[in-house]
Amino acid sequence: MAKKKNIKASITVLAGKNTTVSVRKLKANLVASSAPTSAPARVGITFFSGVGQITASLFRNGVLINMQSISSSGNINFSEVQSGDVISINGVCTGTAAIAINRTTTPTTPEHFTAGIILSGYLIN
Amino acid sequence: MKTRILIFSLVLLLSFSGWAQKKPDPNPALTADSLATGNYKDVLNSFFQLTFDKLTGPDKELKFTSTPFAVMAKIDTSLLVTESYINYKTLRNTNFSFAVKLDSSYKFNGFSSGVKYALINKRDETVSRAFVDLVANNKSVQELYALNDSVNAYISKLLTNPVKARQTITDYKEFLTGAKNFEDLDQTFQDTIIAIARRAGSTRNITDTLSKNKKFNINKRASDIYEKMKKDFNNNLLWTIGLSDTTYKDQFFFSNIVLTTELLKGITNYKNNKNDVELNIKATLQTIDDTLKTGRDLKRAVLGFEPGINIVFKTKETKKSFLEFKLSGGYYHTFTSLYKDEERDRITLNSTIRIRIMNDIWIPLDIKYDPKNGNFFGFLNVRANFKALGNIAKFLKN
Repeated sequence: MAKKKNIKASITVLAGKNTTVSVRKLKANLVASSAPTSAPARVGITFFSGVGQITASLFRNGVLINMQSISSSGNINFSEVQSGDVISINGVCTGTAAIAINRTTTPTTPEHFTAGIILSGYLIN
Repeated sequence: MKTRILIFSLVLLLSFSGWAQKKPDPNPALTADSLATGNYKDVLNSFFQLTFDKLTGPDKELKFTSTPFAVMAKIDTSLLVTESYINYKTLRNTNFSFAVKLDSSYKFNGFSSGVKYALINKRDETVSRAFVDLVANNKSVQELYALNDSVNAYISKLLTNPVKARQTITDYKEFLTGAKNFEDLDQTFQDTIIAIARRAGSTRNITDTLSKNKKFNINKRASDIYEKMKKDFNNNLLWTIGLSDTTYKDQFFFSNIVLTTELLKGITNYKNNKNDVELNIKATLQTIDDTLKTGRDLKRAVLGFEPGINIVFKTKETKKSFLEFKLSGGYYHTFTSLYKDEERDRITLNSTIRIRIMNDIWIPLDIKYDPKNGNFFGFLNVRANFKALGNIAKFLKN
């Protein structure tokens, strides 16, 4: 309890005197917590005719929840993904690359990329 | 008869080229191949090459060159998936060739074959982890990554308004793919992106760009950065070693064996030069039949050394080489007994002008000048580089 108070005090200092930040709310934003709509999401990445590297970041309500990188064809798994989350994709491939997410997203996947810098983002519906 | 054979050969070369050109090039391995210089393709071919050398000379040659990997990939498309593609690096760095020699009457004059291997091939960025790291750690690329993360983080804040979130990410996606310039985005979204970029210190440069240049296209920016880095990488060293032989026309017995080593290295920085200059050094050791002696042997040995530079003129937008001028010196030393009036050491001035008449067709004109005797020799060649991997390209696209 004392620890929580300390955190609250620190946040109040950072946010300013007139701003009240709920520690519980902040904590809920910062961790991948289970919710009725939570489900795992698998980001499948395949590189063709070359090598590559991709970093997938899971954002929820503006906060980075999870970030994983991959440097060969395979899957990145996020355990708790909710509707409204966004998976941000940054990477590079020297051949072609295909990204497929096993959840309904906007824009839809699979998506194919030609050689170059990969920049993308997918909203979980 | 001569004319018919010549026309037939040219039609054959052009038809191969036309076949290749009808197919799109979505596969970067194919695109990279189309950007390679004609000189590079003569040193190491990535797919298939059909050449008709010394069209105007007495010793003509019709040659087919390929890599074992290209042949295998044509049969088994799964080889182009990354893991296999990397594993077959040795086969991709190996060239084999078969040639039919023809005399001035276009009659069979021997058979030739050869094999070549790239001992060092630092130009193959498609399998280079170092190149991937180089791109990923580039400051400008890191800035694009940071902006992308920041905008996606912002969109994830719109969870209370799913319709707006979907609309925003759809617009943003069109921006990322280059379908929309920055100015084509909703004004509020433009302001939001600038505000997001301004908040983060790592996106300071791009903030200025977005504020000043409303026509900013992020896809083009990313593509330009990548292509510049790839071109710099393609200046890297290529060193090959090869062995070729020629048989007599009347029996399968070698009349000629040539050991060749060739080095190619770009010596200009892409950023500062419109056209590229390559250093090209070639050394050969040739053993041929000594006609002074009776019988057939390989006792006559000639060493050749040809250092030179190749100037590459490229198109402004596509960066494809359309004209190349290679200038080299030639030093030849005969180790064994000399023919009548032959000198042991000879020096020549050589030049090759390569004109790209179609996407995959090159016409190289070789000119040799012997300064001591004042003689000029010229050879006209035709080279068709084709991929014949249209279906594979389609497979990769889907």
